[in-house]
Amino acid sequence: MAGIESAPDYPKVADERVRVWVVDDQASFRRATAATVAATEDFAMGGDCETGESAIELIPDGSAGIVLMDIHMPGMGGIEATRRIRAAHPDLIVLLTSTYDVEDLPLEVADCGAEAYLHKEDLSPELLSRIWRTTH
Amino acid sequence: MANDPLSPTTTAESVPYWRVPKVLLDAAVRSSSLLGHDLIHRFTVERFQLFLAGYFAMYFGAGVVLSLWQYVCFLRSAWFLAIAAICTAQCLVLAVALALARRGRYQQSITLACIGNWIAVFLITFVAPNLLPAMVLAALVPVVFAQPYMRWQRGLVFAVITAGCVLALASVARFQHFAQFATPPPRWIEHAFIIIALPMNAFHILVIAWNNAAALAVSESMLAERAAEVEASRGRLVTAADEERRRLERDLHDGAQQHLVALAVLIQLARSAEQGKYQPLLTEASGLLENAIAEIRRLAHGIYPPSLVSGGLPQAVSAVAAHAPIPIQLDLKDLGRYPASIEAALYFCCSEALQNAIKHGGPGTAVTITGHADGQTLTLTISDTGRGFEPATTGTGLTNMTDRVSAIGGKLTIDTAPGEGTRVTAVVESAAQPNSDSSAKDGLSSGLMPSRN
Repeated sequence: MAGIESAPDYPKVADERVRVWVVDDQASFRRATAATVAATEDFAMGGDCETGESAIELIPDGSAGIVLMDIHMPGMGGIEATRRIRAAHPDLIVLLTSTYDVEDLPLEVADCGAEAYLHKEDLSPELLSRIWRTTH
Repeated sequence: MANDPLSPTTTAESVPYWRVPKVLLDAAVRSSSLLGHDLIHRFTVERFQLFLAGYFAMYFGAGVVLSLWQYVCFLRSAWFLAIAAICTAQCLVLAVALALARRGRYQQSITLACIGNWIAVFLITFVAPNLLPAMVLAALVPVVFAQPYMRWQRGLVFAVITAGCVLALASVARFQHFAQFATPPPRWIEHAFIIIALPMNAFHILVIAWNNAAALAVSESMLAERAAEVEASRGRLVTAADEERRRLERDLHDGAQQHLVALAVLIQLARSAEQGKYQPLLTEASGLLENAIAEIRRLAHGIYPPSLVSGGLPQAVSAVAAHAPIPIQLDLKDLGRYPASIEAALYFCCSEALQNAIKHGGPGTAVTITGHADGQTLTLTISDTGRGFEPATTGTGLTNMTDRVSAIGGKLTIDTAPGEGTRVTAVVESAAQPNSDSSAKDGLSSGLMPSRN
């Protein structure tokens, strides 16, 4: 199980770039997120996790930035993980992700503390910037 | 199971004659036993032969041995010899019938036993008119036994002949005086015979009737058990099929679609990063990928709609209605959450009925979907204003709907006629399960939510 992986994949940056964490059991989407973040000027990968449990454990205290949280994962799943991460890190913005249509999502997505729902297909550098600007 | 109930395939086990006194008791207990002696067992060799052997024993004991004993010990009257001769003949007939039964020729066997019996009781009554009451009962025995084994036409014929035989017995006892040819036996012997034979014959008939009824009751309860088993296994099959559909849907979503989506993101990145000669190719690849993702999503949705799991019937039906090309009016406020098998069955019914309305309803068709629940019964009605059809021409779609609803213990009614539209009503016994508020999702931030239709 992958924890938060710092160097060498995601070199620590001293500047003010916004950290992005991706929590997803699918390696392909974690890879796509890393590539998207790498294509931006303003964002840097904070790390990636395979499960909600490992995300709760490994995101450092006082972190700020964006978490891309898959809804459907083995274990506690993205919704419960979002609830706990938001409680522990109020400064983190959690975006729920999946490949389902909005109307097919579980009802709990509304009140788990997530900022928005992002269809995985729509992930792009522009969208990340837009979300960050809208929320700050 | 054999078409002819009197033709079991197993070979006859011979019944030792020393068991004959146990005949009635055995026959009475066996077919009412709960250890599996149902209607089918009643047709087996053993019971049939036990009956014939018992009947043989009655004629032999009461007719031949008793008469000869009386002739030897009490009174040398031709009267006893006549009865003994008639009973000996009937014993021979029964022996032949038994032999036929052992060869598996049951119809001939029972016919022979009945005919022999009619003649024997007639002759005995002719010789000894005073024995009329006992002989009337004796006339009924084989037919009462054989009725459940015969086809109804044959049974009717046998019943009519038996009635005719009884009529003949009464007439002959009343009007013939031929019996005066021999010294009549002492009155006390007659009294003793009548007093013993009458209740015995009556008891014999009653035991046979009770035995037949008990066997029928046992087989009825076994049939009911089997019906319940079949119903339960049908329910399990449907549930298993639903689970399999759900698993397929998840596999499509979590497998192929995830990779394609990641690929789409990467191609998008490549497109925006490099303005080079590969741009048109990347654009084309991106378009193909979008189509593939949309196709997989459509496929997965058709296999098992995820909204059925997350939001139950109201959410899933609303989602279907939202994408339908015809106007649909929904009234599903009453509905809550129900067991997954019920939600799946009703959802697929609803979606099938909707597809039918879209495909066959004709221009201007509108659909109304109404859900009503009263705590015990759940009723879902899908009515359209389309062309309707001849109710006799039900296609596989409607049959599937009916089967699916009946597999969860419900009932589907299809109300239609050409030009009258169609109304499909599914009624299922089910109490709603407690669930969370279904309107909560509207609270999620929508400003950033990409629309995806």
